[in-house]
Amino acid sequence: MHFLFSPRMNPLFALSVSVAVLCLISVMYVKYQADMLHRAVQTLQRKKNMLTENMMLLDLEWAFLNAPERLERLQKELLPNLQPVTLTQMIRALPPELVQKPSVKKRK
Amino acid sequence: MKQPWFDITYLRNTKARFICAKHQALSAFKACLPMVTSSALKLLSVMTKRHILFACFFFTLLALLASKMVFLASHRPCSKGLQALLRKTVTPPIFTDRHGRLLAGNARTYSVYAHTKSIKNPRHTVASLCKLFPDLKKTVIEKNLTKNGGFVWIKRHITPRQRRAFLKAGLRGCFLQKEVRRVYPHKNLFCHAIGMTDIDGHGLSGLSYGLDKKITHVTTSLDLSLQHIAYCELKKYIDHFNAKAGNVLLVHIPTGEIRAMVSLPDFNPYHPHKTPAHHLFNRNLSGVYEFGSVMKIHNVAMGLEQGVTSLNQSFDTTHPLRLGHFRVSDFRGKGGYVTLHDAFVRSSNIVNARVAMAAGVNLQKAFFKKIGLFERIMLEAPETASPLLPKTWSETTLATLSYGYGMALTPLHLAQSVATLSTGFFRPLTLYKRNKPAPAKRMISKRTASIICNLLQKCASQGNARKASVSGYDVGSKTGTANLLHAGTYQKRNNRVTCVSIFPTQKPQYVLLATLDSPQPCAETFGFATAGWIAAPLAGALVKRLAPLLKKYTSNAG
Repeated sequence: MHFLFSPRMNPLFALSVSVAVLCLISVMYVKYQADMLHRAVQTLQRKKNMLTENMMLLDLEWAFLNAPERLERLQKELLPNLQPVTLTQMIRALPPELVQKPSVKKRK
Repeated sequence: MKQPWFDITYLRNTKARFICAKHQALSAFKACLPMVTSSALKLLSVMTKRHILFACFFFTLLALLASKMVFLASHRPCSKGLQALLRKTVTPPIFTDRHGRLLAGNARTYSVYAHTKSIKNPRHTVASLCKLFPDLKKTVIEKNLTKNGGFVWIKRHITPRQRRAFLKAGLRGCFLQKEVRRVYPHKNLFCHAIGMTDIDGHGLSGLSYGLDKKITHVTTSLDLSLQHIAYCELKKYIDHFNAKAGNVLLVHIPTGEIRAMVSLPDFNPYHPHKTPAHHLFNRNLSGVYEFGSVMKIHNVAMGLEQGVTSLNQSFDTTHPLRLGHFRVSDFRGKGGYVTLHDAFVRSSNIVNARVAMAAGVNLQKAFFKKIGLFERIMLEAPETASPLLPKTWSETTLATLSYGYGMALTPLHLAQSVATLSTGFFRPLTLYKRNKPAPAKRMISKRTASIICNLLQKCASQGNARKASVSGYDVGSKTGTANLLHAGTYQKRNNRVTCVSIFPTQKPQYVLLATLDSPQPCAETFGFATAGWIAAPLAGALVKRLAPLLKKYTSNAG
């Protein structure tokens, strides 16, 4: 190794060695940064997956809560007077010319 | 020139060349060896104690690194068994209805597995596992843990509480594996349509079967609300009439989408192995049945379309029609001369048989083939059945086919063909959501289609399907009662009752098919177990509840 420090060392050689060392350091630095970013991406991906799974669980819970069978049971318990939609409720939304007035029987 | 490998001279030469090269290499190595040893000795003489210390240190470091590399390359923390099993598991897709409401999804769960080679104290592990999972049998765990295989499942899909307890216990050689579990929020409601999956997530039936692994989301054509109503009404009628089975099918004609598909009895998709085999059977897709008088729609359409008959043509129904040793008679027939129009409304077997005989075998065959009764309907669910066609098409077959005996079809065939006859266009059915109208192909003339609609409307207002009509909704219906075939004979007191409805009849948008198997007569039906008394009220009740929820229904209300 003594030739590196000799006064007769070629300056071009010294330059190339220093450039090589710098390149090595920069490559190491970039690699380190890439590793850090890769880890960050992995963490985000994990978080995203976790959130997606949680969302699916919430969706399932929502589906359970809004299951027609459950709603019907609750309606029978809590709102017994609530009935399914009938045609008489629809007629009111129709134009007046289509609505037939109910015939009123006159009592003698 | 290349020598053939079997040439003995060539082989000998090759071997000789190899031996020569080996000797040359050895001699070169021997020549170099003194030089290498002398230079190494020179180096050692120059090296100080510090150099030797450094060299030893670096050599040890390299040796450690090399050993670690060898260890990492050879050691596998996850055994082959687990790798293989994990490759088998898949995440099944999510199913939603046409409005995006969840029908089947996946929940994150954990499963416990053991790596038997890593377990130091099997007795302690077995005792701890039995304590954690009381439903597991001790003998089974012991047997599994003493296997040489390495990997073994302990319990699949544990609860979050069990997971916490397992982690707290910290058993050596036992690990958790993340998995997904199929969840059906509506339990039995879509069990036949969506189907079931096995523990590894592979689809076994219905829409789940045979799906590409890349598909993650499927939007079906089904509607949760409509399906629930159809399910409730069908169950109510099955219980009321003590029927063995039943099915309902609702099809949107312009798009060909199946909006509701219920088949009872059904099964719990979480425990399909605990239900009898016939509960797993989807009657709408896999069942083939004789539908009785409903097939008169097809027969009359054939007669009108082929120009064999007209609505005003009169037929004599005084005496039963004799075909060899068969006799075709009417159910509660009034006799006398009736027009085809009245015969359809009264559901006369004699008149329909005469129309079919006038058309002949070839015309009937061609017409049925044209409207798709001879082919299996290809749907997204794979269990669709092919129709059972008569082996020989004799004159008797011709006559019996006119009133729905002799050919067994799936309810899917019936719904599709009625949709075709009422609109004149053939549209393929689907269980996936279609955002635009289905590709339509004209099958029968507009005139015949409108006549069929009017006849169905008449049948619902004056005929046997009176109970299927709902005040305010423009419904056209036809009922059919077919004796069930058992051991080669038709049972007179055991019927299959069917009612097929279209609404609104002015411009048909929906086809509704309701069928019940072996309903029992009761005082309410005056001892009858016919479609007019059982299937028609079911169809009426369904229309009454379904129509307000449908987008397009009759506007001539009031």
